[in-house]
Amino acid sequence: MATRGLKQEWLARLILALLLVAAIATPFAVQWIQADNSARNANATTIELRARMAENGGWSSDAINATVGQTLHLRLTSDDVIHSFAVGQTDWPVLDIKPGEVVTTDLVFDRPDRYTFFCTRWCGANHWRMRGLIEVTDPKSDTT
Amino acid sequence: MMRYELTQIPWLKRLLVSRWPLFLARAVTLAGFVLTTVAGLIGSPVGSHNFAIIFVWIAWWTFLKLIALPFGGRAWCSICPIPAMGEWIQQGALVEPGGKGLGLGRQWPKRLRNVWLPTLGFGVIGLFSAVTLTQPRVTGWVLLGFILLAAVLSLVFERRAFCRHVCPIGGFIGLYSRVAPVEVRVRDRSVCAEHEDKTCVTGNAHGYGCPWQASPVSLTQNTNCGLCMECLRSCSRDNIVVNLRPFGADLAQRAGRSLDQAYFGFMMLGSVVIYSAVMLGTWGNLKTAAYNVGTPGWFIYVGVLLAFTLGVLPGLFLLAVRAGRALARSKASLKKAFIAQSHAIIPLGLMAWVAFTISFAFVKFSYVWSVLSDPFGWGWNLFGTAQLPWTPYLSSITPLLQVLALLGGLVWTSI
Repeated sequence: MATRGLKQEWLARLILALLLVAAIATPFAVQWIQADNSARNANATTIELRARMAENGGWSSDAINATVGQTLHLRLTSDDVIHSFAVGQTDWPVLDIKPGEVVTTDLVFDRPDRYTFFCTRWCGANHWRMRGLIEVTDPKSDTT
Repeated sequence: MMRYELTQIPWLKRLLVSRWPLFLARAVTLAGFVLTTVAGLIGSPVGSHNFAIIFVWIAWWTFLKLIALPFGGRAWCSICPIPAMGEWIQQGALVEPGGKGLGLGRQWPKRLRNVWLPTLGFGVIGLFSAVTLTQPRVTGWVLLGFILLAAVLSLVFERRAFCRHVCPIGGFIGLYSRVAPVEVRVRDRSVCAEHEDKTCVTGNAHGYGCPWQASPVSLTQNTNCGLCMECLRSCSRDNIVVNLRPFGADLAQRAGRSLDQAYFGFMMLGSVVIYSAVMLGTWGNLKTAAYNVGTPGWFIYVGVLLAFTLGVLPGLFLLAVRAGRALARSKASLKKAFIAQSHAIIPLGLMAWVAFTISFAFVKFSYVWSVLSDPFGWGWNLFGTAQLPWTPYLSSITPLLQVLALLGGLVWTSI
């Protein structure tokens, strides 16, 4: 390959490499820059909770730990049908979780206890099994 | 037949002969392909929120069926990312010929130098289409499988063996490219007759020999021309041109018709009928059967699809050909008559696929805006369009467009 041809070849390789890296890196880079500021709050704990029909696994996590007074930042999404998210012993509104969409919510508990979270949308024959537990502790005391 | 030589326009000829435009287009499509595959494999399992499903089965398919194929023939093949990696390794270069490539360079087996493999491949894809078109992970694995297969074949066989002899998408693109209004042909055959070297086939310092294993000298149909423009670069007599021509110009060509191509036409026409019933119809049981792979219902769907495309449809056509032969008291071979006349269904098949594509293309296109901002379905909003609601475009005239496409195909086939 002549010198000019070699230069063109290396330029093509550079362009290809940049495009391939950019294709993957760019979405992640832009997302990192735009990341939810509330999630960067030092006092917030962020948990991603994926909902599936109970037959397909139910909640991705059925046990969540939280601390009194600290924000529990939840990112909820569904992998199949419409679900919803409700927390017992509270008057927080029920959140609808639509397939493929991410809905976020911040929960702050003012007393330690075991709180049940559950789905309130009829999502399948085993809908009643879609529940989990948020265990809230108070670091100032050892009681729950 | 009327032709207009595009390569007589100097700037256009420079653009086509230069390697950079096609290389850049291919690099972009390859980058998009990588993003699509990754999104399919690791992104949300919800199809409408995954870049892989929306960009492959809505955006790209719409572009291919409504624009690239009817107007550009194999134009997509010239920028397709699937064979790119393997070809670059095989050639040892991205843009300039003369690199030290890798590969065994074997000749493709003679028995498989036809479109039976692509026909079979398209049929197999069709059996799992309900799952592939809706499950991002399956789409991701299919894409990954294709690019790896193309790369392996490039390392074993010479030139673009995958494109020419295996790719099911390329199979039907080649079939329907015969109706496209663009072609690559020699300007003056007498010049080629005097040219001993045939550099369009063997290659030279300026260009590779035809990667599609076609002979540009004797090219009379678009079926096996990938519009890669290598012959324009390698022809030392400047005797290869790109022409604009009337739609369907190749359909009048009798040379090159074969039983495998005839059957591919039936596979395509039959498939679009079945897909229309399954995906557009109101019969939930059909959708369930097509989706639940491995169930008795699915096996019935498989049997019906294969029997209809490879048995019923060609069988009915054979009866019609036989009846026509009898009425005309023709002594022509039934097989030859079947092959010759079956190519008449090409326009009908193409327009049926156009009508099928129209049914979902405009209605679902608005998903593109949201997945651009949230390609993995992880709740991102890169460009502020993630929350744009689904909006059906042109829904009031979609059925009319479909009817016009089908009627147009019927009239065209009848001519």
